[in-house]
Amino acid sequence: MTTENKLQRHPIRGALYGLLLGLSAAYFAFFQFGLFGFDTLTGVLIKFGLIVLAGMVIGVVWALLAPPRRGRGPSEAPPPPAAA
Amino acid sequence: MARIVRTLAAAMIVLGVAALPALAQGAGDGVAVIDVGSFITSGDGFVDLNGDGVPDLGTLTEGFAGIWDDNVGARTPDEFQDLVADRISGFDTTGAASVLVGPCGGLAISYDEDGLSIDAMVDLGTDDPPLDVYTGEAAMTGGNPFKVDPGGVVAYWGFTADVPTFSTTGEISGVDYGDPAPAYHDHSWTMAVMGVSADRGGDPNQQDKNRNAGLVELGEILGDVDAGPVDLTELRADVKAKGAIIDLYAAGDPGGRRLPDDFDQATIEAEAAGAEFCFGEGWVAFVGSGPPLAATAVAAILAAAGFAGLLFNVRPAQSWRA
Repeated sequence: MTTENKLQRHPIRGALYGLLLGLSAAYFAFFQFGLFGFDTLTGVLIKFGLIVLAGMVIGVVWALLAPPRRGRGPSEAPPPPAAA
Repeated sequence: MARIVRTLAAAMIVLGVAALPALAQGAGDGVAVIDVGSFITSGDGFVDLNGDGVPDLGTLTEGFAGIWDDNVGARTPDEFQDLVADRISGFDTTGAASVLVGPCGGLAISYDEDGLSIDAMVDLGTDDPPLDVYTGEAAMTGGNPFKVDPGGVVAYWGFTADVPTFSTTGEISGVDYGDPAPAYHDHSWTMAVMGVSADRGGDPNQQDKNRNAGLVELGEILGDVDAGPVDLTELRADVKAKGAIIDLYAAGDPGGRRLPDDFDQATIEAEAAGAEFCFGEGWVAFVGSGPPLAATAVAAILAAAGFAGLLFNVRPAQSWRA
């Protein structure tokens, strides 16, 4: 018996979770902590978008480079059965 | 077990992010180091109630707007929104310092919704920037913005310095104005916030007025603006503002010639073409209570979902087939 190992990555899923994280980070940065001044509408929109984009990039990078989870089964072929 | 620990860690981070702003609410500005009593020469009831050395809000009788003023307070919300629809592309976003050049000066005090003073600044009519009445340092800078309560009121007392280069247009014959000539005439002024034209106006000023006082009732103005679920009277943000006035800019125009919406100091100097002008810009901090709890809760849930998703559902998974 042989086993076939496959490492499955989820960049789209990472981007979507990063989008959620980026949106909330931008909200807190602008409206809760006041880390950025409201200089111009364009400036605010650009900074807000950059934070969201950074969240998505982090999500994609994490999806591609994070250490893989352990599989739910053996990753190598089980030892051959002992001879009778 | 490890998942539970990670979930708790994510929840603690999200809760910390949501709770810290409430703990970070600062106290007041202490006691004033500049006496501003000499500016307040009319109006009743300006008594220091909160003991900070700055008179708290008293009673002002209703005055008169300039002939060419866009009187925001008299507008409907729709008209006000139309007024602020102009976008200004060349708005300076880089400078953290404040500027006030030209023969203009005055005092501005911001009051909370109870009429108690929360910040004050004064300009003595020199080319120096305005000063923080409480600290004596430069006011309206990025690090020391002028604090205003978006549900409160800003009272101002403005004056023009005596300079010999003011116009004498509109002088009433037989009246001795002395020397030098005292005031702006046929002037136009404009204000912009965040690169959006906020208000403008002007006046022939045939009475040669060189003093002005008034209230900006932010609570009423911002309360009238329909911003969807956002209550602008609880706004908490630093915004950049600027304004300008030019002598004789509207001379010969019975409708009041309008200053360009897109302006900076160089633009105003060029438009003035040798006439007197004032130009100022600086930072204003709205110190409302911030966004409603529901919005923060939604953002916290989004943060928790995103954080947990990245931790548990995004890492590469190793699958195998026997």
